[in-house]
Amino acid sequence: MERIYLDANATTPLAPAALAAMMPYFSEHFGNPSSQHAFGSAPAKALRRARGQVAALLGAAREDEILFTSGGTEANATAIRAALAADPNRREIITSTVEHPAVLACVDALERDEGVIVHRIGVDAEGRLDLDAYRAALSEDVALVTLMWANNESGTIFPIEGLAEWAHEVGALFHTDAVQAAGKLPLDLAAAGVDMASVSAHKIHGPKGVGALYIRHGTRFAPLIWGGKQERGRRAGTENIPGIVGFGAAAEMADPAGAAQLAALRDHLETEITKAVPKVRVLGDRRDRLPNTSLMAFEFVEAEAVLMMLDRAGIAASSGSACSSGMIEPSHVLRAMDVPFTAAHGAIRISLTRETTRAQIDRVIAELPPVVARLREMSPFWTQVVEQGEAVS
Amino acid sequence: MQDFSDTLRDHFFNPRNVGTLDGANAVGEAGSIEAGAMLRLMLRVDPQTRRIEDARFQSFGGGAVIASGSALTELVAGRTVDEARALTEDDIDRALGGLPETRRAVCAQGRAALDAALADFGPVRTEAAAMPDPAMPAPDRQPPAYRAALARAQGKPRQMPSGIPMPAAWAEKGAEKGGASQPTATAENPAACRSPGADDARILPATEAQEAIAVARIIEEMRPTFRADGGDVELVDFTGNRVEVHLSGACAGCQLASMTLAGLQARIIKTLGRAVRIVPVGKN
Repeated sequence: MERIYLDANATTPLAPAALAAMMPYFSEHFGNPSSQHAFGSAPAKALRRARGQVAALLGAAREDEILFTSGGTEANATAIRAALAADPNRREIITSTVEHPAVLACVDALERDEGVIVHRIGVDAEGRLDLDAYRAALSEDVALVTLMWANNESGTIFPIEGLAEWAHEVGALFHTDAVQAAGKLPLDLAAAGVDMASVSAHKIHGPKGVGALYIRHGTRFAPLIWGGKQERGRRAGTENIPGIVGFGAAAEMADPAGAAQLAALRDHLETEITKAVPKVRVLGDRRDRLPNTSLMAFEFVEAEAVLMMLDRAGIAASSGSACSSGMIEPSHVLRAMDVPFTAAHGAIRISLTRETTRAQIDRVIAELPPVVARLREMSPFWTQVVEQGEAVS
Repeated sequence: MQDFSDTLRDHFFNPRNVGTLDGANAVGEAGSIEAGAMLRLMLRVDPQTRRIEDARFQSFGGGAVIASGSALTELVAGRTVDEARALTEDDIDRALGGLPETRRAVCAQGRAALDAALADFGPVRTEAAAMPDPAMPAPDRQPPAYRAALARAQGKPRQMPSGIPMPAAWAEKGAEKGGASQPTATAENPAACRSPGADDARILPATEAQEAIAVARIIEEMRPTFRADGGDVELVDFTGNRVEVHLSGACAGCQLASMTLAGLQARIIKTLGRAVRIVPVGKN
């Protein structure tokens, strides 16, 4: 049975070419790029090359605007801490209710432990930012606005350029978590006006454990990790050279224009599934979302059960739910979007990789509807719906 | 992906006894769609032998929830009501091949559904009361609500826990329903319905007003648990088998709701000796 991987927003398979590029840096080119002797020169050169490759993917104006980190989470934490440290007079942060936990848990901790005031801007049913609330929260006390470029669950895209412009009007720094956007959308950070942006290698067919923070030249900055002079003193610690090399290779191979083609496959999937399955909602902003992402909520079934059955059929997808403290709850994103509780528990995220084929999507179209039907047959609520001919309230 | 046992996976992928049961005379539910997990257990109990002849389930939930319904039906089929009452959460856990720690709440939910079903069949009887009363219709012919009402009517009015102030709203409600007197019950009253599965010293509330007070009391007792987690729960209304609560703060719409609502439901069912449904509602 061919296993079909449709969870690209969680992680992507490492590109063979990226792996090949990495291999020598585990062995013959083991040197420390900071060394003065010959062993350091190949790693130092590789580091420079990777920096250029990542800068090109993001549309950075200068290579030294790229700071390598251990991943998207560290990049986010660095940006948030740096913005607060840069101007001690500004003690407020604006973010949204649908950010990744890497941002939300970080600002929660700052609010709890350091008295930082956090404004969490809500979204509408399609996951679009409440622009009025955002404008109202902006003031000269705001150190940082951190808003994701594209949402990992719904795929909804925020209008980052405009949001950054508003932030700058009050002198706040603007950071975006671009982990999901990179490689899937054409990014031009030099033109976008953002001050900082986080990206992660393993979401673009690079290795895990490496990411980057883009910091616009001239942006006020303070390091998160102190120590040696690596990364121009902005991130201490000997560089993860194999990982960075793999990241660079993956960045060079990324094809945001090609990723746009995935939208046709994704739309085909949604069209056929909504035809075959009653009471399903397509979530997210259908006019402006990631081309590879589909979030569909099947009413009166629970997502984990759907995923288990899909997994047995060889199809790997994800849910908009997380298990914590004993039961399964809809994710903070679904709750923020105010998805009705009859549907929130049945939200399935299918995120395509650039390797996804039409044949694979057709297999999902064949396998998914019977799974939902089978679970609904077991569900007392579905029986009620069928009996009453309408949704239970 | 959860680390489920092969036994659990087998129950999930090949569920036994799924569907509705004709002639069911003991039906119980636990959980809710809001909580993301719900189990309905349907039993057919022989009124003479009190043996569970058949069991079916319907379920909405994740893998562990659906598997628990399947395992529970196998666990109770063939047992007497009293044997089924004695089943514990650990028995359910064992029947599922051991649940991951994060899903242990599923056992409590299964236990609560079983409690509700057994309470629906009828109260624990003393020897005298266990003799069939020819004046009564056969239990399996009676709808659950009627049986519950009958059980309450048979018992003499029962004692309320002392020292519980009656909320004004409930006092009014009691007055409407014909008074909320505080009658007494004694061990000499063999017909008194006793709490199933509980230590039998407790006496069931009799009137609606008394039930309402008992429900209000349980919710008050559980509030610190909710508050400790940054939320709150309030009783909004209680009519028939429907207990409406308002969840706020960190409780609203989260896993805490399902966890604690299952616990709340189990406690209310034990106290009232009949099945109730917990319905989270908005506050008006």
